[in-house]
Amino acid sequence: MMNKKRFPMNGTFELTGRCNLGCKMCLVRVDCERMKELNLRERTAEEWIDMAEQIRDAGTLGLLLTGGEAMLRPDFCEIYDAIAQMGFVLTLYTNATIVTERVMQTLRKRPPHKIGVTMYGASNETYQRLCGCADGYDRFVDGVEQLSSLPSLFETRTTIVQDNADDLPAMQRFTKERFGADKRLTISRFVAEKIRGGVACPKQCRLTPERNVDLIYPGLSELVQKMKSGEIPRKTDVERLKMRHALVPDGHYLFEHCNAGIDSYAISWSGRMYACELLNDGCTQPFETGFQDAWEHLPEQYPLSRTPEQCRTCTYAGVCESCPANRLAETGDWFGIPEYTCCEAKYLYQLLSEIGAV
Amino acid sequence: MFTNQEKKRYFASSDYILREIAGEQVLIAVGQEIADFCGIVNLNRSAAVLWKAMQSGATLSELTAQLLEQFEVSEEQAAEDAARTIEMLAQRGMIHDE
Repeated sequence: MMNKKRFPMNGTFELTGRCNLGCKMCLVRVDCERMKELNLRERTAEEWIDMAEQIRDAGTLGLLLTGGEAMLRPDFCEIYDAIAQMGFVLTLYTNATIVTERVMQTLRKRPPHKIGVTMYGASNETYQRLCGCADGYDRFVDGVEQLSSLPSLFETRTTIVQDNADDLPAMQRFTKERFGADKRLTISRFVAEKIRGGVACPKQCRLTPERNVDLIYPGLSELVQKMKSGEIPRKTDVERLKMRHALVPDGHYLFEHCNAGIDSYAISWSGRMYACELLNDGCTQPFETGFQDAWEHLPEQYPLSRTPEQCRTCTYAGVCESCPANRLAETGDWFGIPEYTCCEAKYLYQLLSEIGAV
Repeated sequence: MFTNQEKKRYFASSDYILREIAGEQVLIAVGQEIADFCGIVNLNRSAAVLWKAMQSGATLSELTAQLLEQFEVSEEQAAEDAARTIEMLAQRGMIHDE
């Protein structure tokens, strides 16, 4: 049952699944060998440009160009140049390590409205350890230097795993020193299992659920420790946290709570349309049937919403951040129980409970 | 006899693309001005008519004629609206004249 009016306002083009970096925790990266095994191919520049014309005609306003690393494509400039003239609010995601003069000439002509650069560490050693790139940090700094000369809005993003967790304070300092004291480093919330044939091993290199919660909610566990030790007095008038209920009514469109497939879609490097770029399953084929047909039939690819029995009575459901994409990636089942996310919810609930916020 | 003002032709900047999004007419900045207006300008119906006319160049009287043709307004009101829109767009560098 679809209760909301659908309109394809925001789209994502994953121009390639390949990347010049080999990050251990990447969810989507594939190499040529894996593409052969999957019997899939990247879409040509001509195909992406044609698809961009179709989504423009369908009314898409915001378009994110991403990868893999989109700049790795030899025809990136050709694709970008054509798409940038069509009148989208464009965002470009990049690791900023292969920004050539040719790319800069193209971007200078029609800069993206926003650039999101992903930072993986604060030294070449970390880039080597995590991404297999010995001069990755130097390349990143040089790329950021060039990209930030554009009038685009800038966002620095990161994914924190075991190999770069110690670099976090230096990465946050870099963001503030380079872009201003009011700017902050955006940390990816989920490091889930790889999807769509990815070759990396995110599950093996992510932080423990508890450490991940400490990272996402900085200061919370310190506050609890100080309260426990008596350094800060316990308060009885703490405002109760509004529970974000992971429980959704049964029988609705699966992504009604987050609007995936309602006002947004993602097209993968191989040309499949998903409601959300983090999905592993449930797609239509816009390059075969045309955008409009693929968009119209997208909701039919997903089962209707249903709360797993175990979640219905879970004490921690109010702070649980699991979602269908997360469940599917972690368990292979739309309605599976993602153990890692459960541990995060339990730990977060305990911390909030200690300070009287739940 | 035309005055200089009347002979001027106004041209929409190619750094803005007019699009219809969910029934709304919007101008999207695609050039160096992307940092302004959050990249988007919402146009009302009459401004959209004027913008379309200025994509191939139009004088103030031609723009006034466009408004008269498409809306039920007096000639005086149409001329005033066209002049005000031109002034607003010119101030923001979104059109130029020749």
